Amino acid sequence: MQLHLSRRTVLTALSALVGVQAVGLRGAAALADEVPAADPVAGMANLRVLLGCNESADRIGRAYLALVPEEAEPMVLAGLLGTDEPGFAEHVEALDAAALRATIADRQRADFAASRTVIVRGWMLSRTEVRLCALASLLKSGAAVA
Amino acid sequence: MLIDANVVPRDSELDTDICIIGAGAAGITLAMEWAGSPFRVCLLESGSFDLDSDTQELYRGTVADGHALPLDQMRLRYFGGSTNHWSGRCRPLDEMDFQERPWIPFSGWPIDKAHLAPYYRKAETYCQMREFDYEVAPALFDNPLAASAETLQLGAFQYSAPTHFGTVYRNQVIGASNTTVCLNANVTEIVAAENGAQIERLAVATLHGNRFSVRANMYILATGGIENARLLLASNSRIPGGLGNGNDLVGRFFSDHPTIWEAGWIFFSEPKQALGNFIRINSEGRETAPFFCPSPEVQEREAILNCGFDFRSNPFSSPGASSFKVLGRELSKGKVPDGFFQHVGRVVTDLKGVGSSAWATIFPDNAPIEVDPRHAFLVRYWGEPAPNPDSRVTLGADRDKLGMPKVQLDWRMNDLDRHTFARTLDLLGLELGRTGVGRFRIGVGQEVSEVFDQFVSAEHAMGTTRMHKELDKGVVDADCRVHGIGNLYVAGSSVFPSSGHANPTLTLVAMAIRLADHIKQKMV
Repeated sequence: MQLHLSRRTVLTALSALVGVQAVGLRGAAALADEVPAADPVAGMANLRVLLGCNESADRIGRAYLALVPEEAEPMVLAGLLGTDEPGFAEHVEALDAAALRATIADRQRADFAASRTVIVRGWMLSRTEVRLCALASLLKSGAAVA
Repeated sequence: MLIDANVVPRDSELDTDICIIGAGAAGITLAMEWAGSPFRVCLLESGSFDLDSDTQELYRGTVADGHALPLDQMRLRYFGGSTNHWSGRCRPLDEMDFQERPWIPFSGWPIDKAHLAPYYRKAETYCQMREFDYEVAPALFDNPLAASAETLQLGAFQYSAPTHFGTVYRNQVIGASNTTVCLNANVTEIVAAENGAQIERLAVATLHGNRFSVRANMYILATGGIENARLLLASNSRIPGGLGNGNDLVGRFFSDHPTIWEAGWIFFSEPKQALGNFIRINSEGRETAPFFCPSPEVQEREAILNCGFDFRSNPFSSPGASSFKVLGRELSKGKVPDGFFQHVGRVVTDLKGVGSSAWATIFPDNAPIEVDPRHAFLVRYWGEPAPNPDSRVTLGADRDKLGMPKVQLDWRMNDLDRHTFARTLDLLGLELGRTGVGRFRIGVGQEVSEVFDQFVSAEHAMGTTRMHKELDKGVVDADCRVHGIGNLYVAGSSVFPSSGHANPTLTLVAMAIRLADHIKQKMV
């Protein structure tokens, strides 16, 4: 895949994607937290919190990557999440946290409506959210984004 | 009148107009319907008024795998039959259950739901329930899946007391001037006339060695979903292969509702305290319980069977601890819970889980809480069984104390059963995600097929003498008369050609009332 994204654009986009909806795990209250769109490190931490707990997000992410090892690279996942779509990064940067969360929620629901789901550790998850988990897991493990 | 079969003169003949074999829900309903009529009615019951181990042992047989319960545990053989341990959960079959559905081989009844509607109303009275509109009932509940209502419908069960027919109706049946109740009377053969077109007499035996006959104008076989087939198959002294079995259908199509107690977990995005009441509520004197099922349109579109599922709280306790709690809760109310023996089995085989749960209850700070219980609920699934000719009751080589061949039960699920389970959970997961209501996690086991294989019996034996208007496709006709035999009828869930997902008692009582009406007209 040929990517046309700067490092900053990717990270900004990734941090935007952390507004994933919680699914009822303990820690769902963290939904009320603001997600700092411009801080990728904090964003990734919040992603894991929003998914319930750090451990849960990591487990889901690792399990998914074990199923689909060809996606075990941040830039590949970023591309699959649509961050290389024209205008995506600019669109994301213009949104506040609440709007970003709504955008991601729409994508999740659209995934389910179109049966774009995957079963990971028994969970039925949307492709979008499971790839976000995978990104969180990769970044936690120190994978380079280049 | 009440008599004991042990004191009937040996080798004598009792003469009556109508003889009912079996005093369970169907048999007692028939006797009640004919109480005070001009006909002499004899009701034969194998047991007495209390459970007796020697009589109960007559139910012993073999099961092909571990899904069905031991045959002498899933049924009760004394006055009142299995209503002596039923849960009381009632609901009519759905309209679609009566229809021939092209995607379900062998589906469909020769009658429709509208025909049975007045009998259902009367059956509710027998089950000591009030008239209930099952279609309006969901309005009683706060539906957490309201946004998915076109796909997953909310329905409701109504709970009977539960009515123990043998206790509630004993005095009325015995007190009826035209009725003779004969206890300890085991029918060992339904003896056909030489031409096979009529029943000549019943051969009756007791465990104490007495033997006699009963002659009647009409005979009603009402011994339950397994024994009805057993007795027809064993009645082969004049008709090889047994009565009504000219097309090798008696005993085939055995059905039960496959039940998966832990099909998965549902996680709601928002806390759902109200779901604490989602299990069972009391409304205007009626005890009701909600459930979900795929809508008729979805069943047709997806080519699946009917089925139901509901939610349970405390999903993360161990199976043994869950069963321990169910047993404690229901038994403390004097009720025997659904799946009693499965619960006992799970407690015994999961003592570690029971102990851990007890420890967590005593020391809650140490409990391994993984999720907020306001968000997470266990999903219990039960399915309509696919009519399956390979799922069957046959006679084994072993014999019981009366010389009757023991039953062999081979209960089978097919691909349609599995597809229905998998697709229904799939629809639940997709709808939860599409509407943003939550997420679904499949039960223990990574594959849906592994979870389905945990199915257990709901103790609903059905289908073994299926109804069909054509004699080569059914054992009984639309009037419940055995094809080819003028004076032998079958009552009970064994006549169900399709079973729906609802518990069978209300329907079999309604069918018994209908049969009583039919025979009244024939006898006049």
